[in-house]
Amino acid sequence: MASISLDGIGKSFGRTRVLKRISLDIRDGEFLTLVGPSGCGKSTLLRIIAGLELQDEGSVRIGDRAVDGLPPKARDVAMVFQSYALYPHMTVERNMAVPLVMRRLGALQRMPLVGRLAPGTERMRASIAADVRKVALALGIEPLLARKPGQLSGGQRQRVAVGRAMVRQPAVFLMDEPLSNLDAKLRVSMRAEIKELHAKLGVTFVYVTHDQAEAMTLSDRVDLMIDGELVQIAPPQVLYNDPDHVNVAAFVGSPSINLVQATALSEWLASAVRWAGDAGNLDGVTIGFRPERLSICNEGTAGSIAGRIRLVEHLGADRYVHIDIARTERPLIVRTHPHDGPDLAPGATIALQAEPKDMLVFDAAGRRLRKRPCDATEILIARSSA
Amino acid sequence: MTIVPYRRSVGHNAAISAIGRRRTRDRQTAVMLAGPGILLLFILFILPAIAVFAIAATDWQLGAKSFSFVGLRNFELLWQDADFWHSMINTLAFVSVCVPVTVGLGLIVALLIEAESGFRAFYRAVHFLPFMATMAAAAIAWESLLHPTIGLLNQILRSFGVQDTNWLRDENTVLPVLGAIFVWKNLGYAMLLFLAGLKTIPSDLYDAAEVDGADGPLSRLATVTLPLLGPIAMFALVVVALRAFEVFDIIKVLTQGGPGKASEMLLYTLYVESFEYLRTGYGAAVSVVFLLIVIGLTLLQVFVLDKRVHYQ
Amino acid sequence: MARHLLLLSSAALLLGPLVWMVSLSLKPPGEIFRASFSLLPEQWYAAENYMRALTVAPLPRFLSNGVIVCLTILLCQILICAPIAYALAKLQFRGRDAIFALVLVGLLLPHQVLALPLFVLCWKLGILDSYAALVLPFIVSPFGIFLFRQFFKSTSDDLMHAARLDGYSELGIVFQIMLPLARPAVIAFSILSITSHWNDLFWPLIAIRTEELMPPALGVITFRNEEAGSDYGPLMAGAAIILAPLLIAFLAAQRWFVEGLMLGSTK
Repeated sequence: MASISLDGIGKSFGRTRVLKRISLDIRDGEFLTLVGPSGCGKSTLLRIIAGLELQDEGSVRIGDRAVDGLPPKARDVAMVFQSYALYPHMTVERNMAVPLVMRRLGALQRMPLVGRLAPGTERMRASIAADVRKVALALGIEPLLARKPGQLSGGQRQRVAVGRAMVRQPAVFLMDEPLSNLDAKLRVSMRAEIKELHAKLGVTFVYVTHDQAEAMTLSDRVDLMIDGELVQIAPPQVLYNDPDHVNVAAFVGSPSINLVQATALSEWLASAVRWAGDAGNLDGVTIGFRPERLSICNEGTAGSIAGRIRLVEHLGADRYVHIDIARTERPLIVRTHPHDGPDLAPGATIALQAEPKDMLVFDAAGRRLRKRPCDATEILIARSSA
Repeated sequence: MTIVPYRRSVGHNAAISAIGRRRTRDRQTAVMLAGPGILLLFILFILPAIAVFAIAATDWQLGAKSFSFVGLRNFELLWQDADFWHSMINTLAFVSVCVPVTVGLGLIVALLIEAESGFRAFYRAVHFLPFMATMAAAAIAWESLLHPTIGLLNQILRSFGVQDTNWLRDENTVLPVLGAIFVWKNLGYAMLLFLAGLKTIPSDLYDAAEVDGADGPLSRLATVTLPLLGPIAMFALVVVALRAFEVFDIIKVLTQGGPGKASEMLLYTLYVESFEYLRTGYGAAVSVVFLLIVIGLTLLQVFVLDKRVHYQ
Repeated sequence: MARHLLLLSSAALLLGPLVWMVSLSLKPPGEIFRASFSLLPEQWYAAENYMRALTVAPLPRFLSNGVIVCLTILLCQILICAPIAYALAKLQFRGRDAIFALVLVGLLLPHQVLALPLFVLCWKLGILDSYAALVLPFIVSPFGIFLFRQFFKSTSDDLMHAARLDGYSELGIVFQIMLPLARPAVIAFSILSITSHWNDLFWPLIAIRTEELMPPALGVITFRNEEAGSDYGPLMAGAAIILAPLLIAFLAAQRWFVEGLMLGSTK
């Protein structure tokens, strides 16, 4: 088991800076997810931890030793790849045995034919086979041991890849989008299995994905990366409710957050909400509303803003209502229960309400404004005072 | 607070030198992997190629202790050498007749084989068999076939009342006979290229042609098959031409360039000058000419191949 | 019907010389020199002709020379070409493009042109007229490097990364991961290499004098020039013995041969 500490990791490919001095501490036994849009540098960072890629600057520590000079095999990490990277010409059993064979047998013992004659080879091979079988049983892939990867389904290959990582009992598990080649249903069930695996093994997991649902459900902490920079590291709930940056707010959550230019809401903010800041200084300020934090009320309700229903989507448990309001290009999406509120039909005029504490305010650079101008004590909703 | 930046910078320096060491190790690995190959490539290909040009500029004779540089003298000799021109003209005549015949017949056979589904594999194997034959041994078989008295060819012609011909000793027949042997060997190769080409024609093109009114086998051939085989035909012409320029075995075994010099061709001249007459410098000059021809053709092939990729 | 007629007659023309060779190898001298034509002998003389061919000349020796030389060449080619191809395909180092350009230049050079300097090289090394002289010029193949590089390039980097994490050395990755994955390329290249060196006459003619060291192509013409002369039965039997192995191998593994030789044409 080991903690991981990254200190000022920088990496460029040609002229593009893929990683801009990333510093990050991952606790022993933690499940940390690196999430972000494709090309944000998350996979590169993972490969630098594994030693498959060399950083241009900065240092990686695993446990209590700096590993910058160590080749991948000496770092005590195992990795599961998006493509699974199983050796297609070997059986599942041999695939899983490789990391053990490479570690436990000497060069002579590994030789075909000759190796059999070397002392201790037979015993070693038997113990490797036993270890492989144990892991295969745990993962439910024992019946597949004699097959080759080409004869397996996507989900089975995924398990074999996890098994190959497990057999050598590494201090750190690195996973590079391990579920993204599976179909949606399988992805959900494998997600749960990985979570269980982490709980069972108790070692450090670093997990890369572009899928925020995986990030939110699996992790102790999520590290959102955009354009080679760490934007925010926090537990999933904090990331969702209390984002530091407009990009975090926009990336996390489905359907995604409604972002509206504050200028489009200036009248509403002035009349319905007591806007604490300088009302003339709304340029560039963006206000975000989570879809479930908006509520629909009848037109003319005090402290509301008028809108017109464009579209209603029924999803069974939920209903997404797309509402056009004045001076915005895209409709706002409101998530409601199917039986809540007035009858909703496209074309109907209704109104929207929101609690000031549910408004996430971001400045022109996208940074979250927590104190000014949207502080709960300074802003009172007109409805409550009226 | 003062210690932190200090420790950091130490950590970073250590990291940078550790990374540097790994970079060096990776470079050493690359050298270890590629080194033997690069070295041998130099010794066995690049340096000999340079040496040929260098030797061509000397009057060196194999085994001689000394030599002197003569510049382009060997090429001047070549230019004035009637025997060389004879060999050159033989080669060009051989190439310009045999190559189109080989490719043309290969195309016809390929089209016939693909026309219907019966016995495809059998016909393909039989037509390709001569290409697999060890030419030196096959030439011996041909020699017996062409033998003036016991040869099958004369036996057959005799039954039609035609007079015996000594095919390999008659300067009027020797080149055509060698050409026929070349066609015999390489026809299957051209056929195979076309068979591969035919497989790449999408079948919906035939359906489209049929809808457009080209429904007979000949009109299908004219509207779809032949135009689409165009690039492959170009490719086949170049590849077979390369093989024709490199004809050597049958001359060595069957005619030794004779009678007279009636069947001498470029590669045989190269061999004789370099290794039998030991006129090394002169032989190297012939090698240079041969090399330029082959490189020209190969570059043409690369060009044609590129074109073919663009068509698709 | 017309198709079968045409194809059968062209097939007959192509097989004619080989059939004639076999036919002669079955006949006694008397029948060979008879003016009339017949495919099958009246008196079977096959055993005598083939025995004579085998005793008069070391034909099995020629064939085993061919096997030894071709396999040694192939083994060296794979051992040398695979690592450099891997380096060119998967590793990053300065000068990589220049080295690849060198390989392409090597690809352009016809071997006959290099024969003269290579002869001098073998002479200086004192290995003329030995197996070494037959093998040395061919132990690195630019085409092999080129072909393997293409195949290695098409394998996913993940696989190489997984192998490194699992503890393979780079050489281990080349021979235990990359080469098995490139099996179609290896087989195709092997066939191309073996057929071209088995059939080669040009270089052995220059490099070899001793009969015991001759590969098949050179051996068979020496056999004709020296021992058999106009003894056509044994001569044809000898030619048939030399021709047989490759033709049989081709018929047995047609698909691989066709693929290998087609790959070679894009050289």
